[in-house]
Amino acid sequence: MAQAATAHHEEHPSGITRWLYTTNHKDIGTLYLWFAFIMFFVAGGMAMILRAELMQPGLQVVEPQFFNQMTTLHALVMIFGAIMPAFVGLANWQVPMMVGAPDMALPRLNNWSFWLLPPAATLLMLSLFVPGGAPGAGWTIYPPLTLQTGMGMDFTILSIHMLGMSSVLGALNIITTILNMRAPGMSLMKMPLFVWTWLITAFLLLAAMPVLAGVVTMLLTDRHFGTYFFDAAGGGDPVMFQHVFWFFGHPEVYILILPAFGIISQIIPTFSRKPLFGYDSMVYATASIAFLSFVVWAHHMFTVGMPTAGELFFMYTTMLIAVPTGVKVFNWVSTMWRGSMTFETPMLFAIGFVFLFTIGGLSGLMLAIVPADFQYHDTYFVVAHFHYVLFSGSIMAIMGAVYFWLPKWTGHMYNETLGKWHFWLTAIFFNVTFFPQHFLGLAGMPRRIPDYALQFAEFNWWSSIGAFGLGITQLLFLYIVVQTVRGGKKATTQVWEGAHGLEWTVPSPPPYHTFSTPPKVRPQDLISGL
Amino acid sequence: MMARTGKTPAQRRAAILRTAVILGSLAVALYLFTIFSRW
Repeated sequence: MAQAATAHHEEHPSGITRWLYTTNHKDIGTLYLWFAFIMFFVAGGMAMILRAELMQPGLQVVEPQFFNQMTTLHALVMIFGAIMPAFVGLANWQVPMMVGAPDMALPRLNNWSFWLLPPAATLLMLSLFVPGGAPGAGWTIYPPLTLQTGMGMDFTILSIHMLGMSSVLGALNIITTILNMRAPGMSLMKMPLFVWTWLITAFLLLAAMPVLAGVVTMLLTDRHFGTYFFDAAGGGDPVMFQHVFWFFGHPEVYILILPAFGIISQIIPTFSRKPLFGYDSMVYATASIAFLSFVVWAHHMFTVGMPTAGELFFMYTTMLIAVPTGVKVFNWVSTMWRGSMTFETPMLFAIGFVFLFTIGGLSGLMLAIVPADFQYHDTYFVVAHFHYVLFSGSIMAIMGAVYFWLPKWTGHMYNETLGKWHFWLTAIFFNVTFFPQHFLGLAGMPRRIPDYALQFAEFNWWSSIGAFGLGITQLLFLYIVVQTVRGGKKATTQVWEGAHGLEWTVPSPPPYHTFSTPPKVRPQDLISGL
Repeated sequence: MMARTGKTPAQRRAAILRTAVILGSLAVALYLFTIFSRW
């Protein structure tokens, strides 16, 4: 009887229909993660083209127009195709298991959220093949340039609408799940930090993505339907686009980093074998960062000219973000303090994150200072800054999360030696690529250009060597993941000695349906150790 | 706010629907506000 019940429980369609029609959070999580992985390589390939062109001064590899299209698509695909879907994939796999829910609250909507993505990404890629090519205005798609480009821009606008809709539906689902589906005893202040950071991120998504959708709709009506929101020729204001865009854009930056904070807050206590230091302050710091992210947008556009009072306001609010961020870094370090630490691959990525993300945070503080920003604006210093935040921040956290949870998902341990190679090569090549870009920016090299003055040649050469190494290293990551999915040493239920949480109480791999009966939450299942 | 304790399946379904409709409406309202506040 029990066996029959289990067998029924494990039933799921096979073949393509399993993936097309699935409403299972684990299947949808897997779809998101593979989609993000593919997009990571697509956008990474574009980065290789950029760095090949920039390896030497002069024009060698691509036409300038194509170079601009690559900078634009690299960013759009990495942000909307790789990092965001990867986080949503992690949320799909983990959030229901972490709060003891049987699935997401709205499983069919969950399926639709994912299946909006492949057509959106296809549209974005197709823009390369229409007359005029893909937009080359940068991911910020500022008018008036984007009012004057070919139909590739229309493809992009439609694609952004679809990506935004997918994100909003995903966010809505995550909030609904967390608020309504928690197991008995899993009160809000007992939730794992990854769930907390995702709850706050989902609210950010819900408040930011409709603004992006609104502003690109206005761009579309300006292009085709006779409105003049942003066209100065008809009384519109191009600077208004920048304000509205960055009202979305800055919370977006935190959408890309808050779930990473959550991941790091799961990994560090596990491998320090200690409860997370300052759980409550972590939650409040995350909420403070989310609130502040809505009142700092104009620091992206200090150079457009605004009243001094405005510049001061945005400068100070931006600097204020360093306080809750500092609280987080302090708590991570304090969690490790006198912990019984081991350095498996997820922990290496987490410690790498703490070091390198902090460098990105500090260069962000430098950029927040108005008079300094006038020098740094639109230089390679900015490129270095946001790659420290987005690569060594978001992407390295995602990689750490994959190593951390892959044994749980697949039931197999990954190859630890290869994992460590992957970490060290990634960390070294990342720094070879992006650290010199600080110096290039300080020396005045502008971003988004295919050619540059001779004085910048040496640092660019190093940066390109690092980028090629970084790109090739990620093939090792693909190999490790595929190898682990296909087989390997059997993972235990708890996987890691110091792991606490409901997801570590179910077998590895977990059954197709988990927690159909709500679990009992015990103190030892809580990351906070309460 | 509402853990699964003490709720019938019907009450939980209603709570889920309520949360989803409120959040969805907010998102649509924000989208329309972005455009029409600048019309």
